[in-house]
Amino acid sequence: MKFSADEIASVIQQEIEQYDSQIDVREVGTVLEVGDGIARVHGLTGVAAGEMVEFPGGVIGLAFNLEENSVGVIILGDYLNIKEGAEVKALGTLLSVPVGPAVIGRVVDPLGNPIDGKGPIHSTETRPVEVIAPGVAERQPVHEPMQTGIKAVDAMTPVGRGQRELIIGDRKTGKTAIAIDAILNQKTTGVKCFYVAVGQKDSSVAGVIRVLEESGAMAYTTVVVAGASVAAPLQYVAPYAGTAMAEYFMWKGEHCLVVYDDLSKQAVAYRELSLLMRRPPGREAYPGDVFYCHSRLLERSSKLSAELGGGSITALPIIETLEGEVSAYIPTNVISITDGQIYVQPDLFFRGVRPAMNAGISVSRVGGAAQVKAMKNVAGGLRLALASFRELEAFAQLGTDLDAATQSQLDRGYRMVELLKQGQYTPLNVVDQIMVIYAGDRGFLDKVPVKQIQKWEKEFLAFIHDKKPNVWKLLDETKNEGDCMKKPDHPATVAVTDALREFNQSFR
Amino acid sequence: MATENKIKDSVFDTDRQYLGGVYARALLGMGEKSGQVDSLVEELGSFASVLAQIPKLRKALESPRIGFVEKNNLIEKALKGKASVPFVNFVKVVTSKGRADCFPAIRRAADLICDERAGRVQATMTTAQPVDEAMKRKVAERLSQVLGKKVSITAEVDADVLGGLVVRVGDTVYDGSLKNQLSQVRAAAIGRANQEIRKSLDRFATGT
Repeated sequence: MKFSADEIASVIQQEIEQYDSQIDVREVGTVLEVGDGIARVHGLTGVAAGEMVEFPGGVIGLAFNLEENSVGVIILGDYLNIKEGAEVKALGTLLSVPVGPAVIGRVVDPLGNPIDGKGPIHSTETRPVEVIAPGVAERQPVHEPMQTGIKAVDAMTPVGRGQRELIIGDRKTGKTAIAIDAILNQKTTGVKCFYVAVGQKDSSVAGVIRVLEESGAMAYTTVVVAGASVAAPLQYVAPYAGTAMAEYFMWKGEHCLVVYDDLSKQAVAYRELSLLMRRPPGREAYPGDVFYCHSRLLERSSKLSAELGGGSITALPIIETLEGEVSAYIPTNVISITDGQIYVQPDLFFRGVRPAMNAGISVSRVGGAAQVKAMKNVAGGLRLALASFRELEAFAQLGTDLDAATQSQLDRGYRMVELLKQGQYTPLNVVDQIMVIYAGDRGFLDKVPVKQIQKWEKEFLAFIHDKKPNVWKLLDETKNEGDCMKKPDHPATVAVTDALREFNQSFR
Repeated sequence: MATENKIKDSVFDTDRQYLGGVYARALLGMGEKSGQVDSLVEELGSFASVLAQIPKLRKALESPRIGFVEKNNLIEKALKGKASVPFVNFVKVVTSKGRADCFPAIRRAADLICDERAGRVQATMTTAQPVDEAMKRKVAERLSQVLGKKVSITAEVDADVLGGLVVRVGDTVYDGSLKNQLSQVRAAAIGRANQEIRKSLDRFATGT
């Protein structure tokens, strides 16, 4: 080590020489009681709601409840060393987290402290954790696609940059997998990703981080972790902290993707806090403002107007339901806040349809505006067709004789379902998606046995990339034209159709 | 002694404090009507200190096992002739409502209200060594100028402040103590050294 003790000593000496003594004026209070991550404080007369306070030992708290005789403080850190009678100092600032390029590629806690063992975060800027979302004048409608790389999602429930698309379903149905695939697919798009883990097992978070690292996605991703073992206040703050880090890039005109995994656990943490603070319980014992807790968070995901740089935050909140119960309190709240939902079902999942998305009740309220034109032309009727196929399939199980038209509709449905299956961590380029779905939708697969569909897809894509790169390039260049893959005489349509015919002749 | 005081101060009930405010306003309201505010507050003060000095009396008044007729007799015996009739009545009302444990809070609230009306504030000055009256007066004068209110000072001694003085007015602390300055210097020096080390971080890189 070449840094000598003398050098450090001289630095400290300089600091002491330059030290300008000033009287420290501070607003203080006294801890009356403390426990379970909250403290009740007497004094702090001038403290504002949401203001930071400091306990002895440097633990930070947040003024949460302002009552007539006391202040309720949530403690963001270790509350075991705080004692009754301790002095609490108001800091006069709002809770902030470090933001900027330095946080990218890091794993941090909800206060922005690194927990990945890669040293301190050298960030010069901070942003308050709680800010008001951009107003109407500062926004523009969502119009650019945010490709998730998942065929079923990009074709049927397209997500736009600045949209909030909910992923909802029971436990173990692949909700996180959809979000992770969406992050992996941003490798070449320049979209900054933020994965906020709230109330998750630390082992699952470690698994996610490992996947992100192995596929090189940590280069543009920040992981904010408030695991199941941390106190409720930190779990409650984590999504806001992650959003604050994303907002830095949004206001710089860049695009971000934030995954909140999951908001039902955040609601539970907030319920715990509110009950400890003796706020009155409402439905399912959640406090009255749990809706606002989520709406003010998700409103911050937006598409800024062109004058403000046109940056965006796309949100993929995740909600875990119990036994498919979407009419519970938190699921209905978040469904009503978001711009659509991807509904994943266990029965589809165990039948091998993965991603286990139910096409009938999954929607995107932004819709085609945020879809590549060619994809819109190819997959426009796909969602309804699949939904009616499901009905028909249930009917066909009764064993009735079917006419030829119904049978062919069924056959095509089976193939389409097979075609929309996709392995984990294998996001697909949108051009590949368009060609594959075009093939399924226009009957190019009718002669291929259902069990061979996935093999067909793999070989066809290899064929296009190896033998017909021109076709791929042509479609890539023209995919945003309104007629692409719609009019039979559009050059891209002609080229893709020819390639499909050629490949089908050789496929066996 | 000092630490004992500190803990006693922090252990108080916000509900009791609130009740104290209510009873204090009632007492002062009564005093205003009859024009005896000052004497009532004085009586309240001496009664509260009597309670503190004679724990048996306090316990008897607080005890739920003693009926309020007996308590009234006790109060009559204890205060007859020594306190004014309105004050004796006040004590009886408070006791009969089962709020005898609130007297210290009532006294504190009454003092606060009187101070506020008179434009006075209480300040606590903490020093490492005991200070003389002249020093106290000087600090009080200076504080009165800054705050625009008449300041009365209570002096406390706490060796932990090392030097300088800490003045607390309400919830605001003016900290000019050596202890605080040292901790600030410490934080600044550590921060600066940290910064310097970071600046030349490459020097730590292990050479091949």
